Amino acid sequence: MHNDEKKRSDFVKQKESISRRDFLSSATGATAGILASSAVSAFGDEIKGGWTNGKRINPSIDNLRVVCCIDPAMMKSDPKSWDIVSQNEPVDHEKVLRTMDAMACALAQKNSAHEAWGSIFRKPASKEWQDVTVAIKPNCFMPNNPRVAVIDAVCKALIGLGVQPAKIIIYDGCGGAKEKFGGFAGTKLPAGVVMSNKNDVLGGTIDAPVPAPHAGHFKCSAAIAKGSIDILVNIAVNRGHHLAGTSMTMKNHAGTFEAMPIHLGGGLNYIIAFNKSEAILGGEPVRQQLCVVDSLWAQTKGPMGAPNKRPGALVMGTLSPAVDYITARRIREPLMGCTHPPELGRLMSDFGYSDLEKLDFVKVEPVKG
Amino acid sequence: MRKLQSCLLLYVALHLAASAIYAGEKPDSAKFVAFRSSVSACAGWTEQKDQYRYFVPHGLYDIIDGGADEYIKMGMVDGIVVKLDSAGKKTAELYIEDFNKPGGAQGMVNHRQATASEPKPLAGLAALGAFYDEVIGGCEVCCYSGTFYFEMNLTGYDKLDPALKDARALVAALTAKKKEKGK
Repeated sequence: MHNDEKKRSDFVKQKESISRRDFLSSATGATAGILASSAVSAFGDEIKGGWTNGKRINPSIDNLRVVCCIDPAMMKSDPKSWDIVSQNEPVDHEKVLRTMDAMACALAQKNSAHEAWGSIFRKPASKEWQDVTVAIKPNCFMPNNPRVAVIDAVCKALIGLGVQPAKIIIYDGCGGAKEKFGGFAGTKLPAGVVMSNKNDVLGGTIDAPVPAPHAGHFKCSAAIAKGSIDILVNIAVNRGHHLAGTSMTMKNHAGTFEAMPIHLGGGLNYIIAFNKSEAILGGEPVRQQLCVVDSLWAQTKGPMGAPNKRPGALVMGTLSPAVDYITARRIREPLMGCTHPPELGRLMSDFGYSDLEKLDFVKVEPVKG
Repeated sequence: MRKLQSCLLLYVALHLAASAIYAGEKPDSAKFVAFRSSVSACAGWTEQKDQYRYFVPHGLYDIIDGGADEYIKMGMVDGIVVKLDSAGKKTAELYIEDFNKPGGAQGMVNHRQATASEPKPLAGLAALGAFYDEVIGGCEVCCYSGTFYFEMNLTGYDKLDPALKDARALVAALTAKKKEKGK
C-alpha cells in the first residue's frame, strides 16, 4: 500500500484523506458530496469519458433495442436456498442456452445464432478472434447471482466465434467470481475459462478517469482501464436499491470501479459517471458490447436479501442504461409491483435520451421444447 | 541505522493499525458474546464459526455493500453476523447490531418495515416490533430489544410456516438473553 500511495498524485491522496476523515467523523452526506465533487480533474482539464450523446455502441444495433424473453419454463422449480449451487440447480440449462441464442437473433436481427453473436460481438480490426480478450462481469455480491447458464451462453457464443477459453476472464473486483463460479468450470461453464479472484487476473487496479457528473480519478480494474480487454460483457441481476430504486447493469460496475465513492457522497452521480468512462465505453470497437439482466428470480427491494419474485425473464441489449431503464419500467413495475423514484429517469436523460414513455422491449417468444 | 529501522517499523505498525481501524477490523465486542451463544445453542442449529464477523460501520460495506448505508444513517455503532446451518440445508443468517441509544434500534425496525416488500407482523412479538417479509425459500425477520436490532434471513424451506416457527425460536433465544442481561 505504501508504494501505491507514493505513486498517486497529491490530489488523489488528499481526496482519500478527506474521504476517510469525513467518514470517520460521520459527516453528513451533503458534506461528503461537496468534498467528493471537489475532486474534479486535478489540473483543471475536463475529463472526457468514453460516452458522447448520440454515440452508437454497435453500428448495426440501435442503442435502444432491448430484447426480452419471459419464459418461466426456464426454471424447473424454485430454489430453497440461495447458495450458488442451489440457485442454479432448478435452471433448465439447455433452455436458457437456446433462449439466449434466440434473443441474440432478435437483438441483431439475424436468422442464425452464429451470425447474430458475430454481429453483437466485434473485435479490433488488428486482431484475430483467437487473440481477443474478453472480460465478463457478473454480479457476485450477495445471494442471487446471474445464473451459470446465462454466463455459459455468452462463453459459448464467444468460443464459437473463435475466442480462446483462456482469454475469457470472469471477474468481480469486489470478490466472489472465483469463489462462486470456479466450481462450474468444465461442467456448466467451458473448461479453461479463467476465474479471477477480485482483480488478480486483471492486474489489480489503477486510477482511471471518470467524467461528469462525478468527475475524478478512481480505482478501476487495471486491464479494463488500460484497454487491454477487447470485449466487456456485463451480466447483472434484478434487485432493488435506494439509488434510483434498482440495481442492475449500471450498478454492476461498482466492482469494476471502486464502490466506496458511492457511499461517500457520489451516489447516483458516480454510478452514471463511471458508466460513461473511457474504461467502460471507450475503445474501438466500444469495449462494453453486451449487457444482460438475469431476471429469472428477482428482488423487489435490495440490494440485500434473497429473491422474492420469479419473473422468469432474461433481458439483453447493448447500452446499459437502456437495458436497466426498460427492465425497470417493463418488468419491475408491471410484473413485480415495484415503484421507482423520479431519479430512474436519469439513467437515460444523463445519456442524452428523452421521450422515454414509449420505450419497450422487443419481445422474444419462448423457445419450444 | 538502528534508529532508522526502529522508525520504519513503528511507521509500518502505525500504518497497519490505522488501516485495520479504517477497515473496521477492531477486536470483537464482549456485549455480543451472550447473543452469539444463545443462537448457537438453539436446538437444531449449528454455527458456521468460520463465517462469524464482527463489524463497525465501515466494515458493514464489505459484508452488504450499498445496503450498509441505511444502517449507518440510522446510527448503527457495531454489530455481528452469525450464520447457522440446520438439517436439510436450512440456513439462518443473523445480524445483531447495537444502535446505542433509546429508539435507535426501534427506528431501524420501523425503517426496514417501511422499505420492505410486503411486511407482515410476526404474531405474538408486537412488543419487539417484529415483522417478516417472505422470500423464495424462507423469510426475512426484523425486530429489536433495547438498543439492539436483530435481522435474520432464513432460507432452505419448502413452506413459510416452518421458517416463521424457527424465526420465532431464534428471536426468543436472543431476547431471553437480553432480558437476563437487564436484570
